[in-house]
Amino acid sequence: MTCNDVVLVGAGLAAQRCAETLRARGFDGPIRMIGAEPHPPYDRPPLSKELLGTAPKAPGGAAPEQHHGAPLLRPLGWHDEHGIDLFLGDAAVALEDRRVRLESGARVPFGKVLVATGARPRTIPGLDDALTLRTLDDAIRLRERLTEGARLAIVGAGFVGLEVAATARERGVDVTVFELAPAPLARVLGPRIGEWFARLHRGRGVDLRLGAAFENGPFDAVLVAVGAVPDVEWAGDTRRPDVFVAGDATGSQHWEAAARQGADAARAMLGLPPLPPAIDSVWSDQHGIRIHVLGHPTGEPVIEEQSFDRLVAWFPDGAVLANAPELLPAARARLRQPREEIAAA
Amino acid sequence: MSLRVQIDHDACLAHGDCAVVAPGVFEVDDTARVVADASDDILIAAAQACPSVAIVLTDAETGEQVYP
Repeated sequence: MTCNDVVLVGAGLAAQRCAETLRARGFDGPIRMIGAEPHPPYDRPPLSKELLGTAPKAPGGAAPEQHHGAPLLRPLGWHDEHGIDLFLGDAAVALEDRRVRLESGARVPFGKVLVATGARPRTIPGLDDALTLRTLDDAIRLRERLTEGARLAIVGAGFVGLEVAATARERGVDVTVFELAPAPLARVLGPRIGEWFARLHRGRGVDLRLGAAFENGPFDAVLVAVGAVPDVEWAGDTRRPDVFVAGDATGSQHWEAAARQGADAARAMLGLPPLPPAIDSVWSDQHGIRIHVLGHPTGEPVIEEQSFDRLVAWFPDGAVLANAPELLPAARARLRQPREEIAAA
Repeated sequence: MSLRVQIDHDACLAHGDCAVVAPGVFEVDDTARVVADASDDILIAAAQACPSVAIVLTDAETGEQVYP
């Protein structure tokens, strides 16, 4: 007897989108979603932004469906209505032959399984007690430390470190950021764009120490934000026809990639072709400025416009736009062009 | 000014931020939809919140694009 059940291991965006696509595409077999955290599927980007801040909600905005301040990906009850069983607060520990074994000892049989267990934050030897930011519980712990006048050290000037630095400054926290590279985000956006971020953060009162390892000081809290590693060891070899992988577990770390991969995993399970390719796209909010990164920001950028609170930079196959939403449609069109030419050839 | 709202469905990735900022005005499943009228302030806040910049606002009288 073959098992038709789909088991989604992970309760983040990729698993959620996989479940939605399966149901939208007519799959009516059992779907089980397993989450290590006790929370129903929630959206992670707000964890380093709104959830840490005190910014009032938009005018007239009634309370959104929230769970400890994190917007849920779907309202409570949605999973019940769609026949999706949630197993929360029980981590998967092994992918056996046609069964997922959980920490509690339970074994969940599957016909097809999605490995969407995300990533876990990198740590730094000697800073084992420092805070990290990955889960809703991490964000709640960090939020408790962001009181006015508190002194926060952040190790790492990537997107997460910079977003937390910005939110903490808004809350009147004294922020010091340590970054080994000569500029923030230099590894992803290059040193010239990184310099713009350095000016922005310094202009808003962040003590940004570049080319600098963490140095102990009179800090009330230390946050380590030096990236994440895919949390997939538990699954062993995933190169099996009944095993699919999506989201941060694949090594990509972008919201939009996770959404797409989750949907594509569902399509693959159903024998449907993947969604058409899309332009990579990342956004970030820092000091009230929204930054968009499109395509692949590698190579030498042409910086068309640059001021304290605005940046327009074009890469051969990418773009970085800060506080320039009106240029987004043009940027998308420009980046789409070569792909369509390639497709037509 | 009275604003007219449209969703650019090619750009929309169903982030859902519009429905957080303006619940009851926007609904999101695999794409966002406008389901009710709203004041200009709320529409602007929702459009600015959209990470994909998929909410297009135009002046209902002149047809001029106001956002993005």
